[in-house]
Amino acid sequence: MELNDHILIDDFLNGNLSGTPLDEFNSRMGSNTNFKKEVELQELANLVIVNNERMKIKAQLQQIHNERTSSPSIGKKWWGLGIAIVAVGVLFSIWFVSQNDSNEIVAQDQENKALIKDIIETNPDRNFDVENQEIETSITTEEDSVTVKEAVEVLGLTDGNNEVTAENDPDQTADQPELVKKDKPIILEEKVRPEIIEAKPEITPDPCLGVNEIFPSYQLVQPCFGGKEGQVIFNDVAEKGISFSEFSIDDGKSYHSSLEELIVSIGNYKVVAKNNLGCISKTKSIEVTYADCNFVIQPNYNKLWEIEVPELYDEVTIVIRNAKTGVIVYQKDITAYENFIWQGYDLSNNQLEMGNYVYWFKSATKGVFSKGQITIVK
Amino acid sequence: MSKSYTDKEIIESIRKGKTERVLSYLYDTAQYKIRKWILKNNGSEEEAQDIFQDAVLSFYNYVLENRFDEGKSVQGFLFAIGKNAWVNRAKQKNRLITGEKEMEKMDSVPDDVALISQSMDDDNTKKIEALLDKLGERCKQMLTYSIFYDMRMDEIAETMGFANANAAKTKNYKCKQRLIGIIKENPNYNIKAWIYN
Repeated sequence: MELNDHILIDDFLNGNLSGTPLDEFNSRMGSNTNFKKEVELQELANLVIVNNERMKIKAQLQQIHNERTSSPSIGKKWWGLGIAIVAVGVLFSIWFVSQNDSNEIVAQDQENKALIKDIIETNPDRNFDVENQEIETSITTEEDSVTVKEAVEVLGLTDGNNEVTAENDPDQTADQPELVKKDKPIILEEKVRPEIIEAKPEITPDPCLGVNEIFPSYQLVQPCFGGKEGQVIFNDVAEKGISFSEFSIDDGKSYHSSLEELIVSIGNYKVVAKNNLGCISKTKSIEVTYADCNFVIQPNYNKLWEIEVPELYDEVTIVIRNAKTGVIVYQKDITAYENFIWQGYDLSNNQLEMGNYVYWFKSATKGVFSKGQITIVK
Repeated sequence: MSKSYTDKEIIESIRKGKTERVLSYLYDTAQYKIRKWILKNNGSEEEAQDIFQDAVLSFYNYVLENRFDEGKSVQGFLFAIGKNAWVNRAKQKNRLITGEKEMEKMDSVPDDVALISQSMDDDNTKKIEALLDKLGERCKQMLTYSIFYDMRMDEIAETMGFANANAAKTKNYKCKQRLIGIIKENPNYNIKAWIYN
């Protein structure tokens, strides 16, 4: 089939043909069976695509429903278990490495002491100060540090075999060993030292310091009963210039950006925020109640007052009074989900005069829970 | 909770065929109300889900046919469709609806909005999927955009990365012909019966 016919059939199936083109199309279908067959096939192809996509949408909605209503899946539980195993592994590794480090330090310390002892014992003619504490503890300052290798060298020994070499060394004088003994205490190899220093706990400032004393900053837009929804609008910056990036109204169970519209119905909410480092703010409890909402209606222009009773209320009563006289002009019981429309009529179905009226909603369990003013204008 | 959308954003997303996140949002904001109302009126959990899903399809259809009044609330519209659908179904099944007034259809839904009652058993759904698999993913996506979402060729070209609207139009024609070819090659396929089983 030609592209032009394909487009023509598409137009026909989409209802875009009218007048003469439609008449010609119908005439051609009546006289040309092949063309008619093509139209039917193209219609069938459309049907396949439409139904496939509809089933796909339904399947997606079903999947969302399953996800929202199911308990944590086995997969999630395995994730949790996996994370726990990894955490235990990491803690064990840290402990094991620190143990190894300590063992290495001790082994190195013992090795060095043995070497020093060996040096002293194999040089009985030299007067070493074996009482020097720094030899025993192997801890000294950076300036005084020399390696065992350097000490051996200064003592006039060769590496490895402890052979006395001072006599053979033209640079060594008889006084030097004594000088070394007193002013240059023999210490452990320098490579041991940084590890000992690293073992000292580092004191770093807490990045979350003070954040948990700050409340998140927000504005609350109160809902109108049966109408406008309530909303919490967060500000990124709170007191003392502290910025938050994520906000929660359910005590930290779920977080949102400040750009999201967080719709709230009446009830209690626990508001908390966290910054980019994950530091959590102070939690604030807020109670959302209905605002005193005012309405203006123009019955002559079909601008009426329309509300829908939320599901929280099985049955409520609306009472409307004349704002000046206090006389009840309208009263009705309405049930949950019911659409209530007031056209400015009184109990006898007469149009009320222009002016101000006050209303309130009350229920058997909550008493008066919402009130406000309605103004009837021309 | 899924990302929030304004009604305008919902409609724009549907028209662009980008609906995955919108579906989550519609579920989170509209499903509960329909479900609760249906359960309260002697419906089952399964019926409530089915009605909600069909209400969403009807809403999509209404948007894609440019018949949705953008002054209306999407959630209110969905609830009204779902409620009316359940009233009709309950009448057919002689189920009791709370309060006589509930039997009356809500005014907020125009009369010409019919609930799309979409159902296909698993076997037939798989047959359709298998048929479309022969078409290839890109052709399937192309035809879904042009037929279901009724997107213009320049929009499809932008979304799918074609050079221009003409290139998209040619591809769309070829894909459609390929699908028709697959249907022709298999005269034993009783596609209408699969769909309308």
